[in-house]
Amino acid sequence: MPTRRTLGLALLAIPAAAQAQGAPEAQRAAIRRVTAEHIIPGFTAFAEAAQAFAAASASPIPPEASRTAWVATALAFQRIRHLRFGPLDEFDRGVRISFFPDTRNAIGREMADVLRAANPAQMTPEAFQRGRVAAQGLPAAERLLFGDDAPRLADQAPRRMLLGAIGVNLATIGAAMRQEWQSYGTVLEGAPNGVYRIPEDGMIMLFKNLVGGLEFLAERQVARPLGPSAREAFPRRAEAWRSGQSLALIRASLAALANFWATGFAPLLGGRHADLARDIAEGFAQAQAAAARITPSLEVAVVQDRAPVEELLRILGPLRRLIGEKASSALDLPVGFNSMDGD
Amino acid sequence: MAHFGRRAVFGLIGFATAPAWADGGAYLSAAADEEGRWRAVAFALDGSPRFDLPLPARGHGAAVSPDGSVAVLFARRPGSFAQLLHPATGRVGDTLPRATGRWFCGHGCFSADGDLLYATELDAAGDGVVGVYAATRGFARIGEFPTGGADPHDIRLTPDGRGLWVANGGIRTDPSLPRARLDLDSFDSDVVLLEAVSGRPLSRRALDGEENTLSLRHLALDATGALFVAMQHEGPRFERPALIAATTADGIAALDASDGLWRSLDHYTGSATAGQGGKVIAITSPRGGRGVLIDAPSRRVLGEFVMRDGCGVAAAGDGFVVTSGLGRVAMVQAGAEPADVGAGWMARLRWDNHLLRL
Repeated sequence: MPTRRTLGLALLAIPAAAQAQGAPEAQRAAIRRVTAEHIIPGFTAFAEAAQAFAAASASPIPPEASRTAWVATALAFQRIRHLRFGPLDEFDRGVRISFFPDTRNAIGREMADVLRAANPAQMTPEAFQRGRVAAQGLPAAERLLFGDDAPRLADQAPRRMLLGAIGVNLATIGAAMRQEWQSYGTVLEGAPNGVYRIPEDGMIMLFKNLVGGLEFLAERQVARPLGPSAREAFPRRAEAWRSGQSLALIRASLAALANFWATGFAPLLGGRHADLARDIAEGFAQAQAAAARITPSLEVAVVQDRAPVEELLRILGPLRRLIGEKASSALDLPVGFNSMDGD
Repeated sequence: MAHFGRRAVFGLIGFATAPAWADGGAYLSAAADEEGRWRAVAFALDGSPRFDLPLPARGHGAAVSPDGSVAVLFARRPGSFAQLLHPATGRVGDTLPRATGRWFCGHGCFSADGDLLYATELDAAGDGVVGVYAATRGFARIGEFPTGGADPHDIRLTPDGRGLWVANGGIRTDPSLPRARLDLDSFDSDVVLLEAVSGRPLSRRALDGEENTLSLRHLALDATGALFVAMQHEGPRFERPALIAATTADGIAALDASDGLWRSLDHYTGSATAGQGGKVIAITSPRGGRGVLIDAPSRRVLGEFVMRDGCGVAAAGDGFVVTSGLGRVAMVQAGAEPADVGAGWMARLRWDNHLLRL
């Protein structure tokens, strides 16, 4: 048993020691926590949803089960789409799962090519790894299931063939990423000759993906369909206007980013930055409340009831700056504000 | 346009000991301090401070008059002020407010005789104008002319003093939704040459392409008057177009460089400047954590350098001085590693986008 005096000295010594030597260990613990509580559950959910989608789309007539499974897979993708490094970045998997935004109708053109050829050898996961990036993911499947030509799924075998192939492709990608994440967390913790040398390198990668995820949400998923005015709104630039799921995807994305922040970064802030932690948590809560007020769908709201959509952007702007500028410095993650918010 | 009383508002500052340092070369940048407060800071390459004053909001680029007697640091867009400084005396000058219905866009330049200050500004509809201020009359705003595009950003005076190149970034924003970028799919970005005395458009250059996903934002003029344009790519991330272009006799063309270079710049360039008598152009990419030096006559890449979050860049002797948002200030030359300059106080600041040699 230490005496009262030695115990007191030991307690006094902790803060300095924690600052001098504790950062790498605290960051290592944060990487382990966010991997276990945010990343692996997300990749597991996506893998399972994609597997169920593959099963449903193997025989997609009647299409209801495939449609339900497509929605579940698209929602599950929002839980991981911001994690654009390592497994999701390998083999361009992120783009292959979701070719969005598609500003030049590459999806339509590539789908037409694949459907015209109707060649099963062009639709295997191996073939998709080499090309036809736009025709092999969720947006292509959405067109088959929810687009204007969806009724032709019943009488056109190539459409059923492509849908089934997309299912197999997504399930294959999902299973591979789930497998790779079993060990990628350790890679993030750093190794002398690794991609990441020290835990801080891994934390910086995670942090950049948080900031990038918020940017993608604000600019591509929300501002892009909103446009400058009701007259200049672009409802068909919404991510999933054919299925009417764009708003659900935004809400899922926001929930995922809030969870990413809460599991990966907020616990590192500590008492000294309690105000900042509270402001960021409030920012996420306000953004989620604004997203909940958008009605009845993003596609209709950008034309008829823009205020809650604009409100969401008004909240996301300061939230992004709070994280990019204040949190990066409070967390001692040297990302630099020129990279985070340039002009 | 009345000036508001900046001293009463901000209090002051200034380490300046004029005029001993005036010819030693000083560098001005917007910055943030450790508490996140916005500042305008100038330093000499020996690490001594020149100016250090608080700003009411985040600053951006700056301009200096031809005789070096007055510098102006602009607020970041949509900006509400421009801060005057007097390098020769070390005096902090007035703060110019934005005009009604106009917002500063962060950049400006002086006329060849120093009598006029030109500032890129945004109107309430998001369209660009060049605000014209009379330096000889207390920087009264005496007029404006349109840039013919949205999102005007950098502006440079041609070497003969008769033209103004303006970059229309093209990305529309709504002042009521600050900095929310509303249409990244298809926007018209170009550089326009305006007659300095009248604002009459003389030439407009845009990159060819089936679709414009490049925002032309920052400018540098070489010794011959050729304009180098540093761009940002807003298209899909799997595309990696060239991010630097230069004007030709009657057009504009992307620079020819390796795919690996464009990939390493990560879709983004932050700042551009000319150095070594206008023979070398330096362009930085804070997102890529690197910069590029270009031989202006041949338009070939001379070299690259690595600096995490490096963005501000200004000519310095045989090379350039580059600043980062992580507190680094370093000298850069082709074929050499960046060499740190300066003092501990400089490392405690987060240097913002642009650096100007006073």
